Amino acid sequence: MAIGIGLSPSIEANITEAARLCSILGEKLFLIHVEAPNSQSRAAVEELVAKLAKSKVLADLKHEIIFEQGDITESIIKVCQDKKVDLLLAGALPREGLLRYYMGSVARQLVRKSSFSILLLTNPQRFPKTYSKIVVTGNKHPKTPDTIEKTIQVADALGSRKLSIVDEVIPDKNTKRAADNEELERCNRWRDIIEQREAHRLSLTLAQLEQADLEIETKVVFGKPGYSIGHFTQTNRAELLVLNSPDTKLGFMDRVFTHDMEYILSDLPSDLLIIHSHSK
Amino acid sequence: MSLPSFKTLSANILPGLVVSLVALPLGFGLALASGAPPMAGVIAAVVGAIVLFFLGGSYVVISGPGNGLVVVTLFAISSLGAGDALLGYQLTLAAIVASGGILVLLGVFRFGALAEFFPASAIKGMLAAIGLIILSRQIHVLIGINNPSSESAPGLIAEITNSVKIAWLDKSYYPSALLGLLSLTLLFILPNKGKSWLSKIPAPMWVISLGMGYSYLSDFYPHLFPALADDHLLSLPANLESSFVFPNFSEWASGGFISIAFSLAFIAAIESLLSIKAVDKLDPLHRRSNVNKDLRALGLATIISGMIGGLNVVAVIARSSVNVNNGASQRWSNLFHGIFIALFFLLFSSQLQKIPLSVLAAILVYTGYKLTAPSQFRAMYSVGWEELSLFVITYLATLFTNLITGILLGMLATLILQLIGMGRSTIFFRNLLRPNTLLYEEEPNKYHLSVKSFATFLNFLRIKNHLDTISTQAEVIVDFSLTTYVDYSVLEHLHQYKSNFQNGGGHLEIIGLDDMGRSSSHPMANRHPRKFFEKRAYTLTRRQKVLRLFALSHEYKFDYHEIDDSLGFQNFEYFKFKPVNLLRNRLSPKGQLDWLLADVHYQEGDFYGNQDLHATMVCITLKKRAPLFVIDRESLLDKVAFLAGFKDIVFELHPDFSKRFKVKGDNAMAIKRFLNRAIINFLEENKSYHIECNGQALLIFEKERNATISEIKQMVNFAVLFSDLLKKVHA
Repeated sequence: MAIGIGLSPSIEANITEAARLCSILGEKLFLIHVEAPNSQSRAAVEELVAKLAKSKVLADLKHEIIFEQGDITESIIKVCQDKKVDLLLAGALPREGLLRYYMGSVARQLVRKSSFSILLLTNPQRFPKTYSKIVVTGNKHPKTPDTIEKTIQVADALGSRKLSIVDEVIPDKNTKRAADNEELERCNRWRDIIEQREAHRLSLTLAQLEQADLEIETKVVFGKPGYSIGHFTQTNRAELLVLNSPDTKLGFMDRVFTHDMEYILSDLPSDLLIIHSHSK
Repeated sequence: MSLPSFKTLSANILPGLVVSLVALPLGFGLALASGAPPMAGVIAAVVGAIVLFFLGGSYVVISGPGNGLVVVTLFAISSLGAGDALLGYQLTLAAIVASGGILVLLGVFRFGALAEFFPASAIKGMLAAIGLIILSRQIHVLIGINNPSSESAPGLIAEITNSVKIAWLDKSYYPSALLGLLSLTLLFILPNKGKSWLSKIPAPMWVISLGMGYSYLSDFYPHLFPALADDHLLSLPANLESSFVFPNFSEWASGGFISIAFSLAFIAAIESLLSIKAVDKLDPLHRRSNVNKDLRALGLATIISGMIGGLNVVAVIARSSVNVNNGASQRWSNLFHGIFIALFFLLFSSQLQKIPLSVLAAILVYTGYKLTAPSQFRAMYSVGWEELSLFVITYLATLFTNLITGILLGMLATLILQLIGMGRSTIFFRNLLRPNTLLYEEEPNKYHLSVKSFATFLNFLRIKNHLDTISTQAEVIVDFSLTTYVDYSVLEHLHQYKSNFQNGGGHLEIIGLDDMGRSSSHPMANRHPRKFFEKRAYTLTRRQKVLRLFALSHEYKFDYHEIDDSLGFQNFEYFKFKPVNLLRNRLSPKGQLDWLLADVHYQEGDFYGNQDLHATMVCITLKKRAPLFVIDRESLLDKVAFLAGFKDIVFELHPDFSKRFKVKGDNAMAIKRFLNRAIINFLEENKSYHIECNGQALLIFEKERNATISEIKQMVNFAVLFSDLLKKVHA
């Protein structure tokens, strides 16, 4: 596991959280700090890590601090590839200003460019956070079964109690039009059929997986993919949202014409875990 | 094409007849007010009735010439004809045909939601302005001056004194003016006569009979009743063939023609859509009209009507409500209204020529007055000064420019005012193009529609699209707790949905508005982020009012003020890392504080990115110390971090209870002693909640959001019974 750290008000909370997660999920924590040229940030970070190492936070954990120079995003990605990191953590603001949004912050750049799993921490807390509710994507996609499998493993390790699998269906002509009673009936009939079909598909996926002590519910939501799951996470107060990694590298135009994951990146509803998996 | 069943035919003849009695004089009047030959209105009504009967998507809506189009048609005839009335009318007919084509396209591309895209106050302002424009012109005709010189409404109003002077000085105007004024008085008085025999026949027909009666009397007693001049009487073409006028398409490419065609189509669409929506609320069988199908049918009817010299065909509200009031249930009544009009016209055409124009003008003045009456302004003012100012801006803009510019200016003004009201405009720009809505089935047949960021006329269509897909038998919660701004248009449309759901046997409830600021006590007033000075003075939402009533009828105490958490919600483990800010909407028994229900406002998160959360919870105080425990439904999750390590406690004697609930705690023995048979039986029998004990009190809640009124009633009932039981068992 690795975490990218910069001097920010939440650095201490981020490291604490990463250490806690690493003690549950991983083995070794790499702390990566990319310095700006001619700044004293290195000393400050070293001092802080030393302080934390003495306290309970990092004491029992294998950790290593790495300093790099140059472009922040690329350096972090390079280190992660060198060290064969499985999961990269990064702190992120839930929302960003418009300019920042189009430029892309470090955390979001990492998501867009990396080819490994990433966990964005939005709401770092000094005390241990519980991940009791987790939302995972159930969309029809080759990557989904693997994502759900890994989510169940993570949920088990974190001691979560409820997992919502949200399946976003884009409404088509048949499931959207309801101008009069006849159309309404047809629309509801189609929705029922699709709901049953999707539930069947997900139950087949789940049947192949090892069941943890976890309550699993599946929800079929008719709406914009990407947006709906984020909104669902927010209204259900889930603490973690798990998504498939994007199929293509996301670029500037994806931010101008917001779609899918960019909806969530621009307004993080909770911590976000992006699982990078190769479809089987 | 699906025709209504023949079983409903006979019941719809009478309403058809009554409507035709209203529609005939209105048809003449609207056509004359539009500057067209009187036949044009009759053609529109008859063609509309036949086409909508076969192709329409609504049930009790009546179609025919409409008020809103008078203004555009009048302008079209004078501007296209450039002085030549007949040529102007022929060119206008071509524009009417074109507008019919546009309407068909609007229907095909499913623009049935068009009317919901404009701010409600701007639309109302435009309609009121149309009322004034009609009134200002017809008031001259009412006293006998058929051709006032001004064109615009302000000019016409200024000219009134002049017209009165002319009529006053020339005795030949007297009979006309007297008949007009008498008719106007009757029109105002008759509808208020309640259920007397007078109201059996619609007021316009009384007025017409009065006018015709006078004309006949003057034939016999010219000394007592001076005859009306020929140009003060309705003139109909001598034979049927000459009553049709055919369109002239020679100007089709000119800018004026195209803009008129679009204006006609736009106003026709808006007027029809608003009428259909309003009439759907009146439908005794609570059916949903297919507006797109209706738009297509109206478009086709307009094309046919325009081809043979008729006006635009639109769905009209006043005639439709007469229709419903007389027991209509199917499109048959619309067909019969058309047939009766055609019959009257063919059988009594010489008698109809006895109708004085001033009487028709009185009907139009009355119609116009109702659209622009001071009560419209008062109604807007009660919603708030913002809505009133938008209404007035659109009203004045429409009077001094034209309808389209008027409504666009009204829309712009609404947008600016809302941007200011939102406080931070980034919310608007960031979320304008996002879906902002999420609908999912919470439980079978119970839907949750959550709205985020802001909800105004601009993005109401997204809410509408979701609501339309829900059957009206279902229960829906519209949750605004994630929004910062909700405007009047949205709340007004939702109000209509509320009655639709009520009629269908379902239920729609709005939550999450309690904490927003508002500009008036009106239930549909704009909701905006609360300003500093609004902290104390505020008015109750509907939810709060219902709660207050509920408290009153059960002799509970209800207090909506915000208070600090003086009752110790913070002491529960659930709130260990969630600072409780304040309590609001508290319900408790009078006297002893055995239990208390409140909307708890608390926070989650530590540094930045705090999330403000609200949830309705009950706290029951215990007389004796109890062990710490948490009971939860099997399907609910463990919400409390500190219990993560504890094992479930199994109640061997109550296997069903153990299966349904999870009980966690540190002292298993003490908990088993506390939760004895009586309590377990009680919990098994009732709805399952999350129950947490901190030693001195119990915390009970179901969902982590504000509860709806029915949920609150259940919770209170549960709390009362449970607290009584606890007192009895652990006395």
